[in-house]
Amino acid sequence: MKRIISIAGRELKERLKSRSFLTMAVGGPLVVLFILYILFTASGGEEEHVRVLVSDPVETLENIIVPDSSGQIEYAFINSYVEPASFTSDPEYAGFDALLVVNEKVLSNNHVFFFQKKRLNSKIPLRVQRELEKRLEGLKAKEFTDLTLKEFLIVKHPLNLEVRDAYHPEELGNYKLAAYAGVVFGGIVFLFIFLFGMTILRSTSREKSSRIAEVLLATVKPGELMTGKLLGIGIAALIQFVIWTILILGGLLFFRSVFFPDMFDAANLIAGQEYTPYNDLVQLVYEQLNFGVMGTFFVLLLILGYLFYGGLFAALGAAQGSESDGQQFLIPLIFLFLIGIWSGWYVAENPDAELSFWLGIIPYTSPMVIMVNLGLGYESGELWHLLMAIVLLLLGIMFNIGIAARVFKSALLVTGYRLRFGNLINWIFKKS
Amino acid sequence: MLEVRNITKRYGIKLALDNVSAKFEPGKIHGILGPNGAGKTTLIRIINQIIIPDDGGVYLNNRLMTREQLSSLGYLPEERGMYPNMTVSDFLLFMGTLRGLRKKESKAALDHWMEKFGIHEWRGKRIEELSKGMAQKVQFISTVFHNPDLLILDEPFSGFDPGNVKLIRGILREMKEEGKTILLSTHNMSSVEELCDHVVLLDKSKKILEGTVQEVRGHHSEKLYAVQFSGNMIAFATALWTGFDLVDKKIIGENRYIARVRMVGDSNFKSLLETLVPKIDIEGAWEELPSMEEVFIRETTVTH
Repeated sequence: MKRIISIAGRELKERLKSRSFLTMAVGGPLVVLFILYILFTASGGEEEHVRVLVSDPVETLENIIVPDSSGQIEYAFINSYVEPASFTSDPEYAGFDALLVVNEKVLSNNHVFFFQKKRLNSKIPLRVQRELEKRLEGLKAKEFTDLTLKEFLIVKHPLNLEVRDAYHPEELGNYKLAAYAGVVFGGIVFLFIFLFGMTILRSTSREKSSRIAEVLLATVKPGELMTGKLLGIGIAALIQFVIWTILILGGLLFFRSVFFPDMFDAANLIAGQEYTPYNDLVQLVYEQLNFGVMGTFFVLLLILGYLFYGGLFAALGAAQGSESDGQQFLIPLIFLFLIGIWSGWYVAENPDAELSFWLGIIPYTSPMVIMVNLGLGYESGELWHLLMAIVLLLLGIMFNIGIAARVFKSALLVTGYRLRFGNLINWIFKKS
Repeated sequence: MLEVRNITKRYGIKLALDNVSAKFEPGKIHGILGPNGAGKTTLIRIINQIIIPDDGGVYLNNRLMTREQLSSLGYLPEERGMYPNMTVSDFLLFMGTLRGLRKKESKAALDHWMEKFGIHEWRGKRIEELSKGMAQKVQFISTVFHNPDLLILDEPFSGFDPGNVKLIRGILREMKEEGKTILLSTHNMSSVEELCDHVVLLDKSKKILEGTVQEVRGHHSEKLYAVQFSGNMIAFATALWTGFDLVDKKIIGENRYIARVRMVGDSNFKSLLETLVPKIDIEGAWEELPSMEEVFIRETTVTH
């Protein structure tokens, strides 16, 4: 055990000292936060301020459209007809982003034109439409009915069809988005496994080609060497992961306090009033995701998935005839990873398909699918799926490490060949 | 005492070692010799327990050697390997820990060997920054760092300048005096003659010769003797009329010579001296044995 710890310690020290580790530890979370920021803001388009010129020659609207409280859209009225050509060329209109042309028969034909100088966020025309509709409804109520505006609004009050899960009627949320959050978490797990798996491969291959392996094997068993390596690099991966978690969570808290402060304003929540409508992703991240459960399984699956795949990377590193040899054998491994990521997407789209069940328990894909299923939510009657997936993953780890150890032991001191599939088979089935 | 008994090892259809047995006593330096592909590295790896023999076993003091005993073994493979990114001291301390040294012991060993090789200033250098010779020194230190009882060295002198070869030979002699068992695999026959007490010669996966260096050389004796004398060369040659062949002579001074004489028939060293003493003044006489290099070439050529 002492020797395993020494080997693990050496591996860990080497990783922690390497520049690429530090770059990834700091750079990785910054990239993720940057992408999140783009997703949070771009899809909401809340930051865009739009000035709309309303051309209303007969003053149908009485120069009134009530914008929402965000102040994102500002209306200005002109009681003459403005041609789109002059709107774009006349310096008088230079300060406007869009032209809303309201014809004199709008109350009967319900037809208006919206000209935009640049491609605005797709939500802007919809919001203009909604606000204009509201205004026209008020005018129509006044002209065509005896109802007061207040009475009309009661009649007009739209039906709110709220979609909820029959098993969890109390839960709010967008399940598909939550499932895709699982895909992202699973994807990060697979990314870590692949990156650190490649570290194991390179480290083993380097030890083999530099012949230090022979010196080490005169003191430690091949199994001890492989275990120490998996352990050391695994701890480095966990440290990297913890740094990512701290930086990303810190970043999300920073975003919340700086960019979305009113979202958690108690006054807004209690009054049930309209507050700035952040996009679904923001709502998902800050309101719906159970970071405790997701985080716990994230770490667990990272460890199990790493051990499951790590042995295979070590075996491949040991099997390479030279550092550049055996690259073609990475392709099946990369293919397995791609299947893993695809399975996350498939389960998010088809959570109740039979294939989703199998993808959720097969160890090659389960680290990804479990995360997606956690996003979707396991039913109390389905917890055995989760348990079975974990048990199969543990069995898979034992099987893979057993196979990997055989290849590792047999191949580590053999040099001067080009790796073929036959070599791997021979090493796996070689009598010890 | 280390002993290999009836070791046989095959790699597929290729026979690497064929029923090889040998004994390696402590307090001696043993040469494992043989041409390339004879099976030396396989034998060494079997002793190291890096590979397992198909038949036979490795015994230490009449008991099968265990993996735990490997911590008292130092191994220097022919193809050197270290971690290029590690500093010299980190690498040595790591190897010490792997071989069971405590932190304090490792640090003491580090100071001792740095002092011995006069390389204190290299401690903090990364191994990739060292020259080949410097790296060889560090690798040698890593092999003896934990003061092993059994030392296996494969071509230990390659890459060293004569000064360092002398230093390492001195260290090996010291370790021998301390009672360590030292196995030396080398093609450098002058080192074998100078250092080894006992040799095992392998060829084509078989042991073909074993014994002390003198025994092995004696086994190949050509009954050739050298005589250093002063006197008349003609008188010397005349005395050798029957029973001896004068092979060659070398003038070493005025009327002083070293002549080499081969015995013919039943002649021996005693009869040679009896023949020569009345004729010349003998200053010295000794048997001229073939060098280890000649033995090596003869043995491995004969079997080829």
